[in-house]
Amino acid sequence: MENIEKEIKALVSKVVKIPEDKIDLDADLFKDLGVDSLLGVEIFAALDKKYHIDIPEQKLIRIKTLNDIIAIAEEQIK
Amino acid sequence: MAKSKDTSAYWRKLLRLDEELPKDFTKNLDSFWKVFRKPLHRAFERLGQRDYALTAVGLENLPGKPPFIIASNHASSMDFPAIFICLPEKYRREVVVMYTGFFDKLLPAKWAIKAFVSSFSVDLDGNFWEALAKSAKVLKCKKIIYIAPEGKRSYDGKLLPFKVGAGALAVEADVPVVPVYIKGTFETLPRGKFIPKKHPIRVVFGKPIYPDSFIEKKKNAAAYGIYKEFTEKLREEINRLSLI
Repeated sequence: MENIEKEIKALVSKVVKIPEDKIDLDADLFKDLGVDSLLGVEIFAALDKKYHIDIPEQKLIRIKTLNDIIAIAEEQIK
Repeated sequence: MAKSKDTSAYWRKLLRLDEELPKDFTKNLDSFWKVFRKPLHRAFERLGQRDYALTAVGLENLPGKPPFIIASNHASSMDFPAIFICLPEKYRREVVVMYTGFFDKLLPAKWAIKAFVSSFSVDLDGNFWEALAKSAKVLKCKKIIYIAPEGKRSYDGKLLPFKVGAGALAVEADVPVVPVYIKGTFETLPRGKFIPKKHPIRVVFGKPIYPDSFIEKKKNAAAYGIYKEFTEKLREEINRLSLI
């Protein structure tokens, strides 16, 4: 599971163009990292592309932090 | 072979571009109030001429047939009505606009919108992709959708950064975007004012931007970057039109 965390953090860092060490797992993607809602969709699109993690539309609005994304990824991998 | 970087499959799913259209979709864009549409347009045309010396430049740039997107700067609540009134009748019939769901509760405002133009409401505060998905449906029906890519009215009349949704919609629906610059509406009715001042309004229609080359590039790039590139080109073009 630690691996998933690392990989998702790396993917998000690449999409939002912020170094990994500056991304806290509990940081608010939108308020703290300056991600706008559409760049947020690109994070989910990249997850879908790379790991086939399909985040349902209804859940999108509730995702605020990297930890939220990791929780959904873990749930789908299980 | 290098693995494709194209991430657009998820975007297409959110835009519901590959889903079938509900049968009554176009019917729901209008209501009983449509019966007042023509006289209302005539009244707005007269008002435009009398109080705002409304002029349009570049109407020949409009594509011959829908579907397409009209995208303009956004400085005032008068932007859309002014642009709409400049359009020839054959285009007016095809235009669809989205309005904030707040007006669904204010019935006279909703009726006025429905009387003026085909329209649908969206919750602009939360589910932004619902707005994009409905706009995509409008384009699938071979209509014209009006959007303001800044997402809100300018505070000082200057262009704000553009939201990438305009690019996503154009590239994924594969439709051209007509860039429009509207001048004079900020002086007429800026943010925070409720009574319009008389001031000349000029609407400049630019040449359409086609998404073909962006669709090609998207095959080996993250979709968001391509949408952003398209949106920036659109912003540059609208900015250029402001100097005409």
